[in-house]
Amino acid sequence: MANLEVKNLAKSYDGKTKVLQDISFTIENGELVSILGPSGCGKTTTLRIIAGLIQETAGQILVNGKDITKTPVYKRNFGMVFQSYALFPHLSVFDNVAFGLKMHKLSKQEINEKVSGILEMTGLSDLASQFPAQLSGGQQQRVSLARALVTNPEMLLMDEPLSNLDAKLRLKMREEIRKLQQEMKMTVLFVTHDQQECFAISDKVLIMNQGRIEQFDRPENIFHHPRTEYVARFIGYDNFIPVNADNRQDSYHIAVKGTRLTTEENNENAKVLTIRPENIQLNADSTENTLTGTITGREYLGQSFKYTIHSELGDFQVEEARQKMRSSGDEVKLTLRAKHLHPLSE
Amino acid sequence: MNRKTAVWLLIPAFFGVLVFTFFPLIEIAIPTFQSQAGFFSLYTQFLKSSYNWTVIGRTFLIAVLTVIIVLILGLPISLWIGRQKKTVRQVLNLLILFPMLTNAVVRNFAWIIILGRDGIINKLLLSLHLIKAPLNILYTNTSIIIGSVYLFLPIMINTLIGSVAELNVEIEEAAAVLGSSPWHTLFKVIIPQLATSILTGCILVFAGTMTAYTTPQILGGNRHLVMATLIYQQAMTLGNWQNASVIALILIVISALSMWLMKRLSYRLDRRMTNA
Ligand SMILES: Nc1ncnc2c1ncn2[C@@H]1O[C@H](COP(=O)(O)OP(=O)(O)O)[C@@H](O)[C@H]1O
Ligand SMILES: [Mg+2]
Repeated sequence: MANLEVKNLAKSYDGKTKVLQDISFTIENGELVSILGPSGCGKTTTLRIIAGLIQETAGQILVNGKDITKTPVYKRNFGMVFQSYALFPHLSVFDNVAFGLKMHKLSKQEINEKVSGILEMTGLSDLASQFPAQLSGGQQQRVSLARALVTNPEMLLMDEPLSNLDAKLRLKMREEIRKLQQEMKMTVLFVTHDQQECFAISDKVLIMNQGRIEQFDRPENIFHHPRTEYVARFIGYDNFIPVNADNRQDSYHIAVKGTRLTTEENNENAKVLTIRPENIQLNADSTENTLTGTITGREYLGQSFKYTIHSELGDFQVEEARQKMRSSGDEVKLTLRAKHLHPLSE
Repeated sequence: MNRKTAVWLLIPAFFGVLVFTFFPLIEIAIPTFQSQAGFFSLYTQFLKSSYNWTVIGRTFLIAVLTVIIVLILGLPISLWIGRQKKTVRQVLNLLILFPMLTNAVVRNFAWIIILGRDGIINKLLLSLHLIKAPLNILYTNTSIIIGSVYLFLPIMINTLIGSVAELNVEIEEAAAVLGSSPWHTLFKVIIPQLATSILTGCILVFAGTMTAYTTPQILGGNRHLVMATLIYQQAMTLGNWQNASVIALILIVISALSMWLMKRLSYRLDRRMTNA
């Protein structure tokens, strides 16, 4: 397994629309990195350029420091798992998995050993002689994973591998993938549009928007310190308070429409302050960052209630875990703790 | 609709097939076994003649070579057309089928003009000084094969295009990522997936060439008879209807046997890929 460096990647299919712009990131040996972003933001394009299936418009791809940008796809030695699994319909499970090994000109005995080994590992031993059309979705997914892993590739590329599975199986498979990745110390690039899935299994997350990187960091850092408003929205920060230079009192204090707000982080470049719905407290016994508002909407979420609260700083979304539901029209006091109130510069 | 009504509705079609296909066949078959010399004597007599074997061999050879050439030409064309956008694909498919709407006799006469001693090809080769004297292409096996290829290529292409369009390109990409070169992918991934359609195309072209009459008649002349033209000669020129029937039946048996063999092969391939 290896480390991957992507430098200033750009892509345009038609010469006009920029599908990717200035994509640069590094994946260290043994890391699982996810690309997260809405449909159409360029995730698949990025993955396919790394695999060598399509040509970049500009930029470089380096594996272990070696430039492979001009290497054709069949000489790159990556493993890839496709959204459609893309199994060979005319080959048995065994031969599907053996395909890559035959390409590497291994002896029959070596092929047998390796294929049996990986089938065992992925729980497919009993299905070796079946054909893809005879397998369930989950089984096909495993075959496609086994086929990609058996050649011991430099790194594994996965394009929304779980999106065709039902919710329960998706949870199970993502745990399996993570376990396998850690056991084999694989370098993995995993594409998804599911935020939860991605945070659950990744060492690092790359958030993409319209062909650009919004943020590339560890999941917990992204969760607690989103860099841009886009990222914040994407991961569930529902409340945004716009601020400007006139509002700023000093690096840690802002006054908006008569409400004085304190932040723990330096807010010098802040364009907006954000806070998660579950981090706003209602009628708390505190004077820290408080304002009043009126409940205008409410929703039952199971574990908690979600309120829309109108205040002089605009509408707030607040999630409260409480036995009793508050009524519409109630006047409440909102507390926006300084440690949860994040200044965003973009 | 239940089974019973379905059976009733099938009865007219059943009689149609019986009357128009089965009876004429029996009508042809019966006299061929009624020779005084014995039940099979007409057949043994026919098969004793080395000339007849030449004709059978020629018919078979022309059919096999036509299938091979049609496949070699048809596969790349289909792969290309099948990968185009749907509208482009449909237009190209129409263009390919267009020649089939013109009269077969007319199309074959066009080949006489192209292949003859004073034809376009000979003129071209002579003017380029590639040959000293005009080549004898017309009225040979070659001209029959050229005509047959021209006749049946659209059928092969038409059979393949649909399957090519349905191929999942990600499967080929998966092969490439696993280290398969484009050529290797063509032979080990694409063609195997098209196997059933290729066989179907081959069966159609083979059966068509084996039994074709117009093309070998016009482009083969009298010295290059195939079974279909031999039947015509026996019946119409020599008035030997019994013998004509014998050849017809042998032709049917050979064609049916070959088709059955290919069908079995295709069934085995098919079962592997679609078994649920
Ligand atoms: N082969 C292609 N030709 C032209 N445009 C494409 C092609 N593939 C993708 N695109 C466009 O590029 C953008 C990014 O697509 P893609 O990488 O598939 O996004 P994602 O995987 O994040 O959903 C989309 O706007 C899509 O329409
Ligand atoms: Mg995609």
